[in-house]
Amino acid sequence: MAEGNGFEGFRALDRKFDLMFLASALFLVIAGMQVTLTLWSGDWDFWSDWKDRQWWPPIAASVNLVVPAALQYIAWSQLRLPLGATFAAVAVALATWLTRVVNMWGWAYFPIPFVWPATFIPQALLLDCTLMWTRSFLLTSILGGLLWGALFYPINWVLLAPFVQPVEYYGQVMAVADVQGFQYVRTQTPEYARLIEKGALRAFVEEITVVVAFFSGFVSLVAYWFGHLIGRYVCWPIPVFLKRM
Amino acid sequence: MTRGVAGPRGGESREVINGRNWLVALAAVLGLLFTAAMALRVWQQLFAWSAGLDSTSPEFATYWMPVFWTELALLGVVAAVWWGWAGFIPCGTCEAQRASSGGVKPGHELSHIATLWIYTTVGTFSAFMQLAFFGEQDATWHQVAIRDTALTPSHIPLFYFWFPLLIITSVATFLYGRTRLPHIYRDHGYALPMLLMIGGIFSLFLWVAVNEFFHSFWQTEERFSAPLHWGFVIFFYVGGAVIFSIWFQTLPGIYELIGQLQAEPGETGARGRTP
Repeated sequence: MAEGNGFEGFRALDRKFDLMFLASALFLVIAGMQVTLTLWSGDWDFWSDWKDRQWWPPIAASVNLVVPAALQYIAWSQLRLPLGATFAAVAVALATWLTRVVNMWGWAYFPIPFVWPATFIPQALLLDCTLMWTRSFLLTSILGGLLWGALFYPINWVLLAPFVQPVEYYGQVMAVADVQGFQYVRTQTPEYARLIEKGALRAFVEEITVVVAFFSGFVSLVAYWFGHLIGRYVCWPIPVFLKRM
Repeated sequence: MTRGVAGPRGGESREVINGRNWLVALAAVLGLLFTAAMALRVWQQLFAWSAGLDSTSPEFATYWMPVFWTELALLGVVAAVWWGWAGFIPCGTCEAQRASSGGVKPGHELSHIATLWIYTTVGTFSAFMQLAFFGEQDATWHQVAIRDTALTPSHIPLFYFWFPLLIITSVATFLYGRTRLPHIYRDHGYALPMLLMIGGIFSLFLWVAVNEFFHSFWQTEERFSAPLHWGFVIFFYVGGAVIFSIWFQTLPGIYELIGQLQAEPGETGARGRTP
């Protein structure tokens, strides 16, 4: 069959399926990333006063590696495209900013400087580049996973720095983020429900941020394999059907 | 989505596939869903603070309960019509082509695959609205207004529109696949990705009940990373990840059908030559 008489050609037909797949996959990836971010790291990403040194790096970094790791497996093993993690990180960045602006600020009137989301794009780029260079999921999990967790706090430091500046508030020294938290009381604000940098030996160790970075890296390494196994076994029919092609 | 043109000797018609129609249909469907999302969001903006804080108030009964009942009624009708058409009314074109030539023409089958992909897009958009946009919005609302019932300005669109719509879409996709693409989704038994999709997505709705149960008796505040929310993530992994499988399950068919179309002789009678 030749082009003409209303027929646009086979390459164009291929592209139609590509566009339909991209549109649909974008929504699916956003849903997966944001449900993980919202329900597994939730408050640690919602509020600036929850972005501490104790829980925010290990929890937010590791749980938000699950879906990128799964997508990285699918994109690399089946399509040889080193962009699964970056696609997921960009998708969630678009979606979280949309919901923070439209819902948190537009509906509930929380200020954006209080509810800004963390970014995962630089870590995702590093993760995909690591896979592209090493061509090994094992080395990517070790090197890329460690980098993902360890660099989470430094990369987001650019966003966080203004809110950890010290202020004196009612005679107490605290961070700007703490003051924001007192101004915007939430249903999880009672002390029994808050999990912000608690510990009997709070910040006893010097260079605690470095210690946390290493811990986040190791937790992220484990989370990488959790996501990788989801991609491998929940999406198991993919390689079966691709082999028929 | 297909039309015929005269053949080389003015004989039987050839199929002409216009994929642009698929994109137009996809855009129309997404436009409709986006309009619904915006309508609900605007309603929330207008009436959540003024009439949505107390479910026992007359204002709540005036502005929010009608939305709730309308959603349920509308989705009931959509489910009945969509499932009935997809599952019990066979494709007339497929039957006519089988009767005349023994099989479905490749272009028509491609249009069925494209339609199946549009169905999954309805599902993924519903998932985006459910788990991303209106899901995080629910977190937002319940940080400022403790729930008094399961019917709140954030729950009414989320649990009673987007959640059911995703379930309806997943079942419709399953039925459409079995009736319009039987050699992929029926002749070899039940397709496991389809069953996982329906099971996982339906389990999401079951977890809504678990969520409200725990919130009502144990945890009224909205610490969003609490264990009572974790089931949503797990069941979405099960029900959502397999949508990749459904797409990839049709890929061999797409390539094969396009190959068959390419192999059809052109108007000169020779393979692939421009008229």
